[in-house]
Amino acid sequence: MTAAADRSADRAFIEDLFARHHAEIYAYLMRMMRDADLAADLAQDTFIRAYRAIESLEDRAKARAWLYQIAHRIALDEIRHRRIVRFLPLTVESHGAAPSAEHLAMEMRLSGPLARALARIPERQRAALLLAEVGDLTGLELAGALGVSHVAARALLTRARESLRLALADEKRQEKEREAAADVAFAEKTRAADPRRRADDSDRAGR
Amino acid sequence: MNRQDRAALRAAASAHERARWLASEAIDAELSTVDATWLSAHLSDCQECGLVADEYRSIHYELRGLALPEPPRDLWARTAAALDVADRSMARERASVWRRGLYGNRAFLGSAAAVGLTVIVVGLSLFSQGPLINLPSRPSVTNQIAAVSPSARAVAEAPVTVVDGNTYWVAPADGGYQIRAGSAECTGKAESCAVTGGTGTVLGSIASTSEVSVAIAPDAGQAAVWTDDKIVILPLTQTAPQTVSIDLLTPHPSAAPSAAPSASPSSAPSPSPVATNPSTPEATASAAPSATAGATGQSTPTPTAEPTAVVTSAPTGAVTPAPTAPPANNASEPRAILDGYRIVGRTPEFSADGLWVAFAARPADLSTGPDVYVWHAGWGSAVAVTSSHADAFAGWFGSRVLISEFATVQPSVNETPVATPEPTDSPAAPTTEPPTTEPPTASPSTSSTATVEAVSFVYDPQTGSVDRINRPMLMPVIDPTGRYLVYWAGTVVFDRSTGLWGPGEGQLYLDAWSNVGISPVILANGAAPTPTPEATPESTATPTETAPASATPLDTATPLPSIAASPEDSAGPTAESQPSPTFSPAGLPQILSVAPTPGAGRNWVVRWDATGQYVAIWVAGGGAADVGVVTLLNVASGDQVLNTVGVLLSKAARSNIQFDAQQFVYTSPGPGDAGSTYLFQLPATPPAPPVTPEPVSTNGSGPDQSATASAAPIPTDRPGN
Repeated sequence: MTAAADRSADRAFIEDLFARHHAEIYAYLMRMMRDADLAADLAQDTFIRAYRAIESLEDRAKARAWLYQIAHRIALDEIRHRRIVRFLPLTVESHGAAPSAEHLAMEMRLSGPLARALARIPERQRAALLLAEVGDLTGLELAGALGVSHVAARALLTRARESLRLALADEKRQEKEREAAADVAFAEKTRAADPRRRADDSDRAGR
Repeated sequence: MNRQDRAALRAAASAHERARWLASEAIDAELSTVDATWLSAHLSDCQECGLVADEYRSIHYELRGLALPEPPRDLWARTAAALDVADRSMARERASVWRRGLYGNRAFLGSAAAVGLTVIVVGLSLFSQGPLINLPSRPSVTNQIAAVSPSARAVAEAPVTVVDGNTYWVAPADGGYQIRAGSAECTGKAESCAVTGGTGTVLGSIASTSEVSVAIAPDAGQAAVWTDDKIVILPLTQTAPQTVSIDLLTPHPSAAPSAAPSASPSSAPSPSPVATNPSTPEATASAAPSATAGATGQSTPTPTAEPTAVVTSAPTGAVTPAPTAPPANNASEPRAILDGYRIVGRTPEFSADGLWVAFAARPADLSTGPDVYVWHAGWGSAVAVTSSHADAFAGWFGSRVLISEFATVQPSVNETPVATPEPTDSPAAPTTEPPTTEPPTASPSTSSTATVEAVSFVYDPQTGSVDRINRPMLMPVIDPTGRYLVYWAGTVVFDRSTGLWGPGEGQLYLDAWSNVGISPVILANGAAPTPTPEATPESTATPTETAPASATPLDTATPLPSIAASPEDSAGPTAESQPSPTFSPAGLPQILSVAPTPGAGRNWVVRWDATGQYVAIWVAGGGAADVGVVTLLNVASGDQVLNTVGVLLSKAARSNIQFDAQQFVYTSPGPGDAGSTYLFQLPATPPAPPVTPEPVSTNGSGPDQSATASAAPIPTDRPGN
């Protein structure tokens, strides 16, 4: 086969990969970065980098794990580059700009206790969990994507589960506290707005 | 704390850690018996570890239940553009390496060898199959199509089509393939459906060592099966499934219908009617019609909207191809209906009643461009209904065939005699105007040269009548209720590598069918120049009208008297042949913004649901022929055209998209050749309004206009189209 034919085949292969896996790669990057625009950019970068490095893919049957590996490295590079060590709190913008409606919608969608807890754990642990649980990578694939040994990947996954468990418990506790505080505030507001209450209070004050 | 206590504490802590480790491991893989037993025993004693294990499992399920964020619609377009940039960049890098090698190292030899091979490949590609409209002909992947090859025999069966809940697919078998029918099993997750390998009822078998493609009739009574150079009809039955040895069958020329395509001089194919230089086939684009849109955006097609007698090549189906010959053979036997030809563009499709098959094909030796063929049950072979060698089968509209043709459009006959278009090296002939609310009108005063544009026709194979759609468009797809249509408009280009005309830059448009006038066609000659590929030792220099040696319809065609008339004949009567625009929803035409944009290099497939409310558009991703992105739009609700930006679904998918009752069926690109098939439930919509009159002609070639206003619905195409 000629070089041109090779490139043509490679192009077809990478486009096929895109068709099959772009949604999950984007989802992974979206959960890692929590920024729709950034995730789209990184997903694009993932496939471009894969295309350029396609000769490094020894077994095309393992292309999916290979893609995740690229996406993972791109995500970590981006995190380091942007010094985003943790997911940003909801009140802080990642780019310093006003939040777009899309961004806010995404935040709302992903801002449940689980997503917030996920945002709090170290990114490597988060990546391991997302790759294993959402990406459904096997142990060996996970190790390949993370660039570590199989045993190290398993250990990382266990630590990630434990970190997430603790973070989730903390998030739920905080959520309960917020709800309790909101209940108190609501009760106060209701009380202040109730004319009978106000009359009682006035009577008490008059006495 | 003594040493023993500390040891016991460490052991206990270690036990808890081990329990949590194993609890985590148990989620990902099955534990060994020893570990599982130990963990079970520990958890029964340690309530805290039990809670932790429960929480791990809970987290596991919660993570898997997270909603999948939807990628932006333009992600593919962006990525494709970036891939193009990467391609160019890598090409420059390779060229740099090549130049370095030229001056001093052995890389030159390898590079030179590569270049030499490339030349050979390019040379061969001149004779390779190329789609007229860039729709994939292999693997065949449009509706009701499946392509299989021996190399794909290990993969799971993918549904060919789904009709009324029944699934039809092609399964590999010893020495060939089997067409099977059964029920797909749908799992809860995303309504994913699959056919279990080895299941189903065998309806027919195909013995072939080469790749075959299959289209199944709506009633599953027969299938069209084709290879690179032959099209076969295979009757399907559960009781006594037949086997067709596709390589051994030949057509029955003696039974070809006597009403064959005209070979009269007036409608004879014109190998290069315009371009004087075969190597520069493009006609100069200087007579693009100038559109005049109504002030309100709505228009009533007026009789004067077609002021020029546009001279185009009419499908030779304008002659009546009514079959008079007796059936060629036993209708229950497999038969080859065309030999020595290969399918081009949209894949063959049965009419709704299953009696007709239409397709476009060109000689396997690529000596000419494609023509449209029809076959009727009982005929010995398919019949060419065009002879311009620049035609494409666009689909069925009820019992009629939609045909697109790349035609040379001459200036008005009342103007200065047509000058031979100047050959140009320009790769594109930008002649097809974007649509307006009025049929585009040519500007006679500015016309001095012929142009090439995509024109479309409605051809009735039963009566032989042909109507030209009064607006340049390519591959119109009309909804089964006859209210709307989707078509492509833009520039057309000639691909030297394939010797075929195709779309250039353009857009898909949604319009009301009543906005688009039609005129009876009785003219001929003037087809788009379709020069043969560049001369090579293996090819002839010019197209030939001589059919290949194998038996073909052209071999057996009995020329009929041409009814081609003078241009004036068509200019006059068309004044009364415009449709009554009783159905003219506001806001049309609209551009259907889908990504990627269909056109040059990007195949597309358009499917309507039976109600005309929903349309699905699949656009190739540019890589694998049948992998792309499907966009499902709810374009109408009753008489109201909705905002077509509203997207119900946008997914990576294979091109075998279809509708089945209230479901939209699509297949994701899965590993290998197998993907998951999904059933997308269409939202409930108001019932479609009464059928509106379609554009009609009043010169006798179409139904009576007065009767059309209350006409019964036009026979719908097969379910899902």
